[in-house]
Amino acid sequence: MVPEATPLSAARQGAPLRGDALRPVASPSARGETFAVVRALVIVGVLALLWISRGTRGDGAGDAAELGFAPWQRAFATLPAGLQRDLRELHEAGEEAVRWRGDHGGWPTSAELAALAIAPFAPRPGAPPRAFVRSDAPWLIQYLGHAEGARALLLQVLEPRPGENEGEGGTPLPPDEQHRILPDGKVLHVSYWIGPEPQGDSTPRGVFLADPARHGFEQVLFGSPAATPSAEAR
Amino acid sequence: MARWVDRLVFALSAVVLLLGGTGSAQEAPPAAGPTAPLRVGVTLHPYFSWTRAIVAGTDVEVRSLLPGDVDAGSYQPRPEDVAKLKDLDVLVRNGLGHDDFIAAMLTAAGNSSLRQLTPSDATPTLQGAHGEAANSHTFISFTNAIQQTYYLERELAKLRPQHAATFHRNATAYARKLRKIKADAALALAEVAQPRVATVHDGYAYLLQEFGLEAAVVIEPAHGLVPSAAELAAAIGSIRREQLTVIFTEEGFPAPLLEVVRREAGAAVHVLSHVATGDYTDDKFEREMAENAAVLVRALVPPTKSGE
Repeated sequence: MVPEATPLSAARQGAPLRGDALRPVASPSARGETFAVVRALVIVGVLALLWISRGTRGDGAGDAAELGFAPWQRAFATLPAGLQRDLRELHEAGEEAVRWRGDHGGWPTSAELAALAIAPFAPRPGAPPRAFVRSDAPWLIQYLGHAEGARALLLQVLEPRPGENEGEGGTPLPPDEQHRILPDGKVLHVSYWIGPEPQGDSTPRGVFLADPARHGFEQVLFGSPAATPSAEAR
Repeated sequence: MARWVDRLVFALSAVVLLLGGTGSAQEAPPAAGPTAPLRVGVTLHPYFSWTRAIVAGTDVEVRSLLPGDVDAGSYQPRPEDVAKLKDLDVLVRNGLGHDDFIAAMLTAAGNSSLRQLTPSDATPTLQGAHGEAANSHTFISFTNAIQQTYYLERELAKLRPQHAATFHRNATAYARKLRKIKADAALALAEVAQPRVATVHDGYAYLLQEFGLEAAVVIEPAHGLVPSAAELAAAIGSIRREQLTVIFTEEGFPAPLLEVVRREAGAAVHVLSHVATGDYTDDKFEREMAENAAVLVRALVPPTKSGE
C-alpha cells in the first residue's frame, strides 16, 4: 500500500498541518464560465477559418503565387475545360514543330502543320477557324493564332544564339517542360501562352509580340511548378 | 653495373606489360553495353503497343509484366512476374498511381540498374473527379498517346542511339496513324448536340476532352470502387437533374447495377474500352481506341448524321 501524501493523511498521522494547503477553491461564476467557453469557441472558430481559407484559396493570382509561379504564369489545371482542350492541342503541335525542326533544319509554316492534320493549326470541325501566323525574330519563333470569340493561342520557341547553347560545358539542363533538345544538341525553350479574354483583346493580329505578357498574355505551365522555374520563362 | 642494368630492363619490361594489358582491356567489347539488345518491361497494355510500335525492326525486346487477363486495378503481384523484372534494362510505368504495385515488385526483384520511364510526364494532366490527385488514365487518349510515344522514343534513343533514326521514323508513322483515327472521329463528333455525358468511372476524362465532351457525372466514388446504394441513388439523381442521356461504362462494371442506372436514369448505356485487359498485342491500342471513337460517334451522333 502506498500511503497517501495529502495534508489530510498527514494530519491523521499527527503531522503539523500547513494552513495554505487547505485554501478553498472557488467555483467560477456562471458569467465567468460562459466567458471562458465563448473565448474557446472564438479561438477554435478563427483557427478553422484560417485552415479553410488556406485550402480554398482561389485559382487565380493567389494560387499562382502559392505555386511559385510568376504573375504572368498560369497552371494548366486551373483553366476551363475548353481552354484545356485548346492548349492540349497546342502542346501536341509544339511537339510536332520541334520534331519538324529536328528533321528539316527549319521551322514549319502554319500551313505545313495544318496539312498534317495537326490541331489547332488544322481547322477543328464545327468550330470557328483559327488563323495562325508564324513570325520569326532573330532566335525567336512565334506561332500566334486568333479565332473569333476565343482567347488567342501562342506557341513560342527560343533558339540558342551562336556560342550560347545551354547545357554545353557539362552543365546539366534542368529537367523541366520548357527545355527541348534537338538531335544536333541545340537546346530550345518552348513555351505556350493564352491571350487575354476575347472582349478585351487588342493584340495586333499577325505581328511579332516582343513581350507577350505586356499584351496580357499568360504563359501556361503544364507540369509541376518545381520543374518549371519562373525565372527563365521569358 | 650489370645488376643495375638488369633492374632497369626488368622495370621497363613491367611497364610495357602493364601498358599492353591496359590496352587490350580497352579494346575488348563490353559484356553488356549499349549494343546488347535492350529489354523493356511495361506495366500497362497501351505502353506495350506504343513501345512495340517504336522499336519495330530492331532487336529491342518488349515484355509485359502482368498477365493479360488481369486489370492493373485488381492485380496482385506474383513471384513469376517479379522474376520478369530481374534482367530488365528499362521499365515503362504510369507513375500517377495506376501501377503503384510495381514499387514492391521492384524492391523484391532487386534490379538496381533498372531505368524507369514515366510517359505521363509528357502530357498535361487533368485533376481526378474525386480528390485532388491527377487523373492517372493519361493513356486513354489519342493526343496523349502521341505525346507519350514521342517521349518514349526520345528516352529509348538515348539508351540505344544506333536505333534512334528507326525509333524516330516509327514513332512518326504511329503518331500519324493515331491522328488519322482521331481526326475522323472529331469530324463525326463536330455537331454533337449534348456534349455532357455520364461515365461509370473517371478513366475517360482525357478521351472526352479531346473531342470537346465532358463527364458531368462520374458514378464510381473512386477508381474501381463499386458505389453503395446511396451513392448510386445520388448519381442517378444527378444524371436526371443534368438531363444526361448517355452513360459510358467499362466492361467490368457490375451488370445489375448498370441496369438499375439505365432504367432509373433513363439513359442509354455504351461500353468504352479501358485498354486494360486481354492479350498484349502490337495493335491493341489503336484497335481498341478506334472502336472507342466509333462508340462515341454511335452514342452521340443521331443515326442519320453518323450514316447508320
